[in-house]
Amino acid sequence: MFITAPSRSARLIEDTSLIFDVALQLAPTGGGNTLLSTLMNLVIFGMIFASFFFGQQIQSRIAILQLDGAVRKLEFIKSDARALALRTIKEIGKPKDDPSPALSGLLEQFFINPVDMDPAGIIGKLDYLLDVRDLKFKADVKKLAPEATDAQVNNLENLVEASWALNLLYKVVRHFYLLGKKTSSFYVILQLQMLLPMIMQEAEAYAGAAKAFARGQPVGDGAGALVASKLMRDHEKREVDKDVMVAETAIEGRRVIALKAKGPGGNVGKPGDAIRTLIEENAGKVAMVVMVDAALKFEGEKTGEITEGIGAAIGGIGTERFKIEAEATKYKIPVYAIIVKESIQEAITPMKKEIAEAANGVVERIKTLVQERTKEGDLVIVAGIGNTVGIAQ
Amino acid sequence: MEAKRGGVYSYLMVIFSVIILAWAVWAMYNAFNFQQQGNTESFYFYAAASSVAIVLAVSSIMQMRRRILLLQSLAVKVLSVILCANCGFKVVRAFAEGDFVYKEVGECQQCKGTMRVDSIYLEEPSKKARP
Repeated sequence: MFITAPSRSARLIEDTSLIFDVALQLAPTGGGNTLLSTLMNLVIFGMIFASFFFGQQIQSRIAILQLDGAVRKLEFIKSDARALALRTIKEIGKPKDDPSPALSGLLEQFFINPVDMDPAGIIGKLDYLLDVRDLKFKADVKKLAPEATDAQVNNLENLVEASWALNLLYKVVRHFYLLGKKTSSFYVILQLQMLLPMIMQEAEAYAGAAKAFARGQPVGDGAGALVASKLMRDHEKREVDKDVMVAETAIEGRRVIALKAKGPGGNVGKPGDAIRTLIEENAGKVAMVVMVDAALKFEGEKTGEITEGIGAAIGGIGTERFKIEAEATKYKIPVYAIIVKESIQEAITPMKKEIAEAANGVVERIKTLVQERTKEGDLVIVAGIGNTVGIAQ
Repeated sequence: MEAKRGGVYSYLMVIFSVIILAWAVWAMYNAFNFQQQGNTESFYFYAAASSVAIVLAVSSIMQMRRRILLLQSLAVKVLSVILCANCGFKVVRAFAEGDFVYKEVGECQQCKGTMRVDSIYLEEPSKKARP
């Protein structure tokens, strides 16, 4: 006679009965102090102990999990925008070769700011470097899409820039996420986690911008350009400086020169140079400059609200604003600003109805300002600032 | 189509979560009853199960709410307003590829004038006014 090893099924039955035994002991049967209540007490004490001594580590782990999800989402958004850029380049540009490697190269481009240890003359250097960057970027996009028209090249350039921004955003967030994980630094993780809602909002806005540029739809930032286009409509236009169109009109007996970036392709032009040229063309005899732009609203403020102020209303790195301020100071020309309020998401996603409707309100404000602040025969420059995608003149 | 499927899934998940939440409330009520009866084990059992269920259900409802809001934001449409400068005849239609503000899009049906795209904007689904 010999003893065989218990079969697999016999072992399974044995294990199951053991589990049932334990479960019966744990089950709520009514009565006094049993194993379950002791276990519950232990668990509660364990949790209090863990939160005292490992609270930070637990919080870090939870934050890392949340960041992991965000990094994945960012990667998805970035890849989606790249795929959209590639598809649009193929559809519009009809390239002979595969544009994918060249597009990847464009998305990895970088820009080195000029040295600012000796700030004298930095604006000129920065402006020059930005011009070089813009020219190269446009030439690279044109090479990718040889059959695209100028307006389409501008839209594609903006689309690639939105993909570039998403790519950079993804890489920065991934860098800090991996750094925080690698060094187990609670504070690196915490800082990233605190900024995460804003970063994700920005990423979603860029994704929306990419779609708008791919279709050539006006974006919220184009509020200023839309106002200028309303003033320029049906008047003779000419191009001054780089990608800026101007047209002369009249308001209540005053000469009004309206300017905007050349549309309908995605373009912001160089309004600083254009305003300088116009002031110099008229020997400084300009009664006032009115700048119209979209501006960031505070949370709780209404989209499309119009407000007035003083100064050069123009965003960007500051070079254009510098030129306008310098020229206005030189000839003592007052600069007025009219802004249309919107959020950062609204600025780069398709233009909302409230913003489009605000353009008529801004035209009325300009008329009032011109009437109140100038006299008949004066010359006024109205500059519509912003991206002119989807808006002609 | 995909957005519609996603919407149905989200609403089903919300219904499921609400059922779980209702069960959790019932379990919590039972837990308090057991505590008053001095039945500690049943109290612990129901209180723990109810707490876990409440956390899971609320978190699921919150997630689905965000998802529904996202789907609603994706459902927006861009419209082109086409206007005849001559007689003011207005047509509002969905944005078509190649549209831009001041693009000439043909002849006016009423006065044979030139129809132009007057504005292009994004229209969001109307929001219910807050009390």
